[in-house]
Amino acid sequence: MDSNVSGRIFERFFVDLTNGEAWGAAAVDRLLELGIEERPARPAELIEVFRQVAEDIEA
Amino acid sequence: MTGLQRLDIHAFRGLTDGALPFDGGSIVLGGGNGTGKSAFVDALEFLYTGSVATLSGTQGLSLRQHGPHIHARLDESYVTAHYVDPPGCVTRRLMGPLEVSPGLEPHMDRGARLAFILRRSQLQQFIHAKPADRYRSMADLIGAEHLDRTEAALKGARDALERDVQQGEAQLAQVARQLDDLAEDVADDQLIREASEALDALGVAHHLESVDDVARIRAEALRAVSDHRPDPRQEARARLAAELRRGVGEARLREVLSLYRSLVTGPGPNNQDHLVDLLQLLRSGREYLRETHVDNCPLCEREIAGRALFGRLVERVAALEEVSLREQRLRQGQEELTSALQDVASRLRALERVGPDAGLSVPAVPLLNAGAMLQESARAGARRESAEMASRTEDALDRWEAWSREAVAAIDAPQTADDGSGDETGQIQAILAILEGLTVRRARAERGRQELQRLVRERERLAEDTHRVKQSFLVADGTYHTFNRVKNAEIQRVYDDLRGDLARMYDFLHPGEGHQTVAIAMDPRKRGSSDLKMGFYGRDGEDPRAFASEGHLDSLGLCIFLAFVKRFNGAWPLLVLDDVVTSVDAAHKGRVARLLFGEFGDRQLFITTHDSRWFMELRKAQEESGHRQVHNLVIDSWSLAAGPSIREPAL
Repeated sequence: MDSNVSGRIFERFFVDLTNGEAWGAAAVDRLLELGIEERPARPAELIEVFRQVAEDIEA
Repeated sequence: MTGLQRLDIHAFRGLTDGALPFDGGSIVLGGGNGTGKSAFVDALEFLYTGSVATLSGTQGLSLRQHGPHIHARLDESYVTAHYVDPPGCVTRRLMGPLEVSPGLEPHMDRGARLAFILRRSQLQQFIHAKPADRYRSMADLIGAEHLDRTEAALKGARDALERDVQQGEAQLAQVARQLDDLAEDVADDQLIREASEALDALGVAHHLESVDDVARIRAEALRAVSDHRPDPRQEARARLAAELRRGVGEARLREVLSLYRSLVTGPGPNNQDHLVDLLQLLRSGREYLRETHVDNCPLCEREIAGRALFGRLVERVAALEEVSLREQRLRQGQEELTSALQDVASRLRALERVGPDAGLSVPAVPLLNAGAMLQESARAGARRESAEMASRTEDALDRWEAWSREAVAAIDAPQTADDGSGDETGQIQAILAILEGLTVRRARAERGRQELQRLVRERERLAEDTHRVKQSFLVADGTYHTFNRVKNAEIQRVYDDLRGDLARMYDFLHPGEGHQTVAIAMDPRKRGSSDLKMGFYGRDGEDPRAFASEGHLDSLGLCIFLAFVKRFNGAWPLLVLDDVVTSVDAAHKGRVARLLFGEFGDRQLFITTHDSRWFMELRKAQEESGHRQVHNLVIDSWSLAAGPSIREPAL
């Protein structure tokens, strides 16, 4: 893998997510905690991330 | 730059002991089909990745089973590479750990992640696969597996949450339907009022004012039912009517009487006691005359007319036999008569016993007396008297049947002077039914209220859950689509970056042959889908397969791979091409050879081919480009025991 491509994709993904959605910053924090850049997450882990982000929004 | 000096292979694939002397340069390896060229390519792939693409992903194929030489054990197989800058070696075995000399780890790590080997089957994938498969082939070159797995997981999470939302909404809709279906609530006051009105309509004095009164009124009604006794006389009348309908055997008696009367009034013997003896005597005489034909009486010896006497005897015997038969029938008729009269008498006496309870006098005596007298006269053998008594019995039977019909009709007729007990019972039952209806409706209303509360709570819970899942889904959906959009855009940018190299290399191979722009395009609507586009004599955006020949498509696939190598592999030294140029004609093969040594001459090339023409073109290209560090080798033959026999070809 060209780390530049991968890094550029994740970087732009995080920026777009943060800027594009009200909950984007919270989602990025949670995804970074999960280490999504380092290893592909499992759907169950991601569902838990999205649930936590939704809770953050509600709070 | 790290350089590969030598590759040693032991007991791997079709190689027993093989070696490739790179000496820091390139190798072009020629040889016929099945001589072990690809085994060297497999060994290089195994060295860097620990796997062999052609032995994975297909059922029945595996590295463990098919990696070792056919005569070797799994633990005997290994590949060793010797390097310079830094000097050292790497050994990978089919069993056992990877052995890497210090300083070579970065080289091995990079080799594991880069695509530097192209086989003909992969080349075909670039061109002929469906867009999704083509994307995967190209994603392999980019090394986008991690990105694709991340995207797939995001999509999986998004879809799972979407299903949860749909399921929650379906459950909510179901609860809403259940709430709609709930029966309208009915208050106790309304139930009491309706039951009270129903009781009023029956003319019952009830004092039903609240649900507390229901038990009392029901108890009163049940007590009234238990106090009400059935009328035994009515029961006896009903029983008597049923017995009369069943009859006392009138039909059988009438039939037997008729037969008996006909028998008893017919001719009978003068002296019944001697009838049998006389008949026996006459039969003996008849037989005697039949056998002897005598003309004299055997007693008085007077002359007799034997033939005439025989004839009279025959007539007399026949007459007496008929009388005897009638007597026999009479006796049978008498027995049947006795049986029928006894049955009738038994039934009549039973009816006589029921009569008083029913308030009726059963006139059985005339028929009983007539029957008894008939039996008496029959037993006495008094024929005339018997006939007369049979007639009297028939008369008595007529009178009995007439009475029986009238009695049944009288019992069945509606009671004109009813005591009212039937009405009273019906009214009590109506009261109980009204109270039961009230109780049932009240219980149903209570259950409905409880169900309503349960459903309202369930709806609230589901609404909260579904709202939470919806929020999670919105986050998942936005996250997935953002990732998908960014990834597709970046991959497209990679494709766009390749366009220059791709077009330049393809132009070099096919100058002035009508093609124009060549591009690879991501389908933005899909997770991973790549289309190939080419302009051809003014027609843009066409699938190359529409106009290009097989050789053109092969060289296009090669150019795509080489463009990726140039874009991603940087200073990585190795480039391996396994028999990739087969349908390209001789002139274009020369161009391919010049392209490889012109564009990638700074790398270590390992090129295999079965095509001697291209082998020569490759050698020619080396000379033209001034490459000296190339070993051109040829495999003469291959055997299972010795593997390939390699030599340097004559100049």
